[in-house]
Amino acid sequence: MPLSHSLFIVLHSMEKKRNKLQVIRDILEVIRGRNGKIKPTHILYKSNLSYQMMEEYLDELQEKGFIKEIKQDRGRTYTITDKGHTYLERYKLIEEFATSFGLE
Amino acid sequence: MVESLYFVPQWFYTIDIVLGILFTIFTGIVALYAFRIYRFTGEREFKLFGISFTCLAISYIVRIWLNTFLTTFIASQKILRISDVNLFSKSVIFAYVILFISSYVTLAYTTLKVKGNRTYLLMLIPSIIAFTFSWNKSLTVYLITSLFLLAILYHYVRLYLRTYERRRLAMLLAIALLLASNIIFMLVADYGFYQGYIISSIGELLAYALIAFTLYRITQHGKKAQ
Repeated sequence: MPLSHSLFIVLHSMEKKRNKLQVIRDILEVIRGRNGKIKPTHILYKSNLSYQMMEEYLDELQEKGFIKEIKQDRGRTYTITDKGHTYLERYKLIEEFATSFGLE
Repeated sequence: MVESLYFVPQWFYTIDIVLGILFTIFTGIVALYAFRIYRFTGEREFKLFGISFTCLAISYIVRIWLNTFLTTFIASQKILRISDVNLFSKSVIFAYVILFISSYVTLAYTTLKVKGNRTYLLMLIPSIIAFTFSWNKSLTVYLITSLFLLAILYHYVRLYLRTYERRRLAMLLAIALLLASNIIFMLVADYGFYQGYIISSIGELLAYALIAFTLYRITQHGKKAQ
């Protein structure tokens, strides 16, 4: 993921609190930006979340089938699934629906 | 005991059925869209929103049925009298009221952002009990739904005042119109103010037109983004 995007996430979160849909998008974009494979420490660093929050989001994203955990000798990595890609593709539509109907 | 649910002027009867069909289509499409987004995201808010609009859509279908088969013609008005009908018809009326109340209870519950079936049931069950045992059914139904609409309106006003985004305005206005229509509906059956039925129906039509416009704008925006 380019530095400008990480900066955007930080500045955006400083400007106003991100909602859940935005946090999910940010995490998925971080994973997609790393050729679809990333360690949790990198997600923590780039997504601007606390460790506990990140773990909660990662569990939820796995449950929903957006990401997949791969356990290795040197720790765990995460990859984005097709469903995760679909979420990113349709994010604008989802965000527009949530905001317009007051569901965010 | 006042057992009438609503009055429809006879000349407005056909228009009312057409409006019912339109409301069913609008609310049904919104529900389908919400469920589609729920499938992508798995977020319960979209599911609840979908359930709320499904209840509304089904309640409008039932209302069309009630208007077609159960209303009585008295002095150039079509009147739905609960006391005049058999047990099956009474059950259909009861189903209509439960669906109508459930739709707004679900929407109000969604805006509260609380998790827990108990909260939901605490909102729904007293409302149904109040309707079942009330002397004035019409007033009770519209009073209950007006209270929930007021809570929903508060949510949308708060959201709008936070950012002043124009895209949030349509839903706010739609809920305000539905609340105003609901309040007028209360007067229709209770005071025989049957012209109010037409005013309320126009209010409802404007509200659903705003919701349909919002959905159209969302789909266009979604197409551009893709």
